[in-house]
Amino acid sequence: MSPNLPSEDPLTRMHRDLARALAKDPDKVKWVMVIDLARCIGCHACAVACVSENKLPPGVVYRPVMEEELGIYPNVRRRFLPRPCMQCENPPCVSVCPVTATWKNTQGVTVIDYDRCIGCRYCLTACPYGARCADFGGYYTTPTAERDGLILGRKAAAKGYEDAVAPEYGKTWPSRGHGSPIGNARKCHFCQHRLAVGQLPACVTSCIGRATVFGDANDTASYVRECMGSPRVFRLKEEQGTQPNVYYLA
Amino acid sequence: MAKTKRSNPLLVVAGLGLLVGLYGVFEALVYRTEATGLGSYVPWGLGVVLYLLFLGLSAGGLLVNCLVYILGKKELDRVAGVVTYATLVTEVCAGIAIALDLGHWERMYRFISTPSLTSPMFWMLIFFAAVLFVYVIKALAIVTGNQSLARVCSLVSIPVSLGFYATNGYFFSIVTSHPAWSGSFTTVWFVLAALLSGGGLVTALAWFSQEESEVTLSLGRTVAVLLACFLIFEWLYFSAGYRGGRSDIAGALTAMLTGQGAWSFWLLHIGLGLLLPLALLLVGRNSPAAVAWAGLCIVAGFLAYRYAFVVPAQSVPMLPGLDKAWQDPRLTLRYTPALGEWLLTLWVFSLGLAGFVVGPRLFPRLFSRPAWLQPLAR
Repeated sequence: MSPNLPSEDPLTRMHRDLARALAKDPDKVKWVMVIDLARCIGCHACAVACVSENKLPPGVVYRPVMEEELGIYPNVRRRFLPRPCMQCENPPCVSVCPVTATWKNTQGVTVIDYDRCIGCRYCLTACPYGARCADFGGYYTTPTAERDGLILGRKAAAKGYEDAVAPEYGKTWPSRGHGSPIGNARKCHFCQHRLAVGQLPACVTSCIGRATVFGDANDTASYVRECMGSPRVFRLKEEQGTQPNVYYLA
Repeated sequence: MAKTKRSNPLLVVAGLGLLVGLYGVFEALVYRTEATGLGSYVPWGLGVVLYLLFLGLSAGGLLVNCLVYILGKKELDRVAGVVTYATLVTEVCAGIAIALDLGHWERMYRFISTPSLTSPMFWMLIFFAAVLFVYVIKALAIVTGNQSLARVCSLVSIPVSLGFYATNGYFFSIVTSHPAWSGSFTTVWFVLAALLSGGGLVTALAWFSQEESEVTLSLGRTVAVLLACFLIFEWLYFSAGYRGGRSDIAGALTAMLTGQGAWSFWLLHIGLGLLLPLALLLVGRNSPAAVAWAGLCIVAGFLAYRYAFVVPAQSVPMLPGLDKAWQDPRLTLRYTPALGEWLLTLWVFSLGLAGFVVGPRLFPRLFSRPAWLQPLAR
């Protein structure tokens, strides 16, 4: 075996790090993410896993993967840049909310109270990363055919996805069509509901290139802390003064 | 509009508009933003445009109060009633337009129960309510002939209104993610734009509603100065934006000038809203009718100006390639207002028109000279 290959799957180490973080005083944990662009192959698995995990409706995506073509033929290459919420230290989206429906929790994650949000969408315009989406209330299954007894269509499809309860923030949200989160701003929350039960965010576990690293920045032994020390590290739009907690490795 | 013969057809038009536009209100109340053409990258559209238009139109009260109580143009106090009424009607229209643009309008009580003092939107609401309150009291003072109370309200309304219009500009100026909006310039420009559009409205009302030729011509001269200042500011905005060397600002400006709604920018805003009234104010400066028509043109053109300010600025992606990363009609940089949004716009305009048409019948004292300016009966 090549000495360059990792001796264990980074996911295994991240799970170990996570268990250690969850055993700590929650106020001493600071969740961060590092995305190694050199390992991202642009498969969009993280984006799809996130949509599936959070039962996101059409038009709402927490972690799109942006693609860029560089160079001039024949010397060309493609670059992929997944963009979750940056969980900024100084989030512009929080201070503009007129009803304090969004705030940074003690672990550094910017969260939203769906029952308080009035749907003014000011936070959407304030986020320099376009990381917030408005849930306008669409359904993936709307155009699906349905004929009782003849075509097993829309109802069956909805049963498998849209009628399922979104697990966000560990609450039981009603099925779609009955109030929040329809009409609200929505965003990536580092899968708070998964972390609460000892699971890594869906985008981390689904990343086949192991490009997404997640963990506690305050744990000096964690894999994510090790990655943050890389000389390849950078953050998006640092000039905005937002101090993102999502780091990229160039 | 005080003349019944003239106002009846307008009342029919307003009634039809209210009837047809009712579907837009229904959609906004029941389906909220679902039926709009908005998306996550262009989250503000016609609702915000309407709000900005009407809040600007409400600035006629500020303009007249400044002219009367700071610059000493006492003759303008003759139209104090109609100006106060116009401020109230346009504020109500602005309030309805923005409330129906919310995803959860039924939670507006949250502004009071869980306020955020760091949000310009919260302060916007506070100033909005304060302006409304001061002008309601002033209207009551005019109706009851209480000159001293009207004077106090007018004086109080000046800083309160300035705070309101400046907060609206500040609201946009802190959004650094949209560089075409951000910067302290926006705050000043918003106050100027509000004074110009509000001035246009009260100039038109002074003639069409009150037939006060002296007041109309006086207001016309002020509006001409404001119009010239606005043109200079607009030139500075585009010039500084293009010469600053930032591609995102230049992209937003180019979207305004050549993008999807460029026709409305050039024809309605520049042509109808600025150049035509400028020509009318210069050529017909001694004709109250020409000056009043210039005011109406400014009012009509301002819808296009507000649209150009709000929508094209959002057509620049916050990160390159973001709009192509996930395919969905709600995740694009294009915005085309849906039928419901147009109908809601029609309804709000019709409400405003109906307000001005029925105003003289409901509140005749507001549409005549204030009691303290009328000759004493022998």
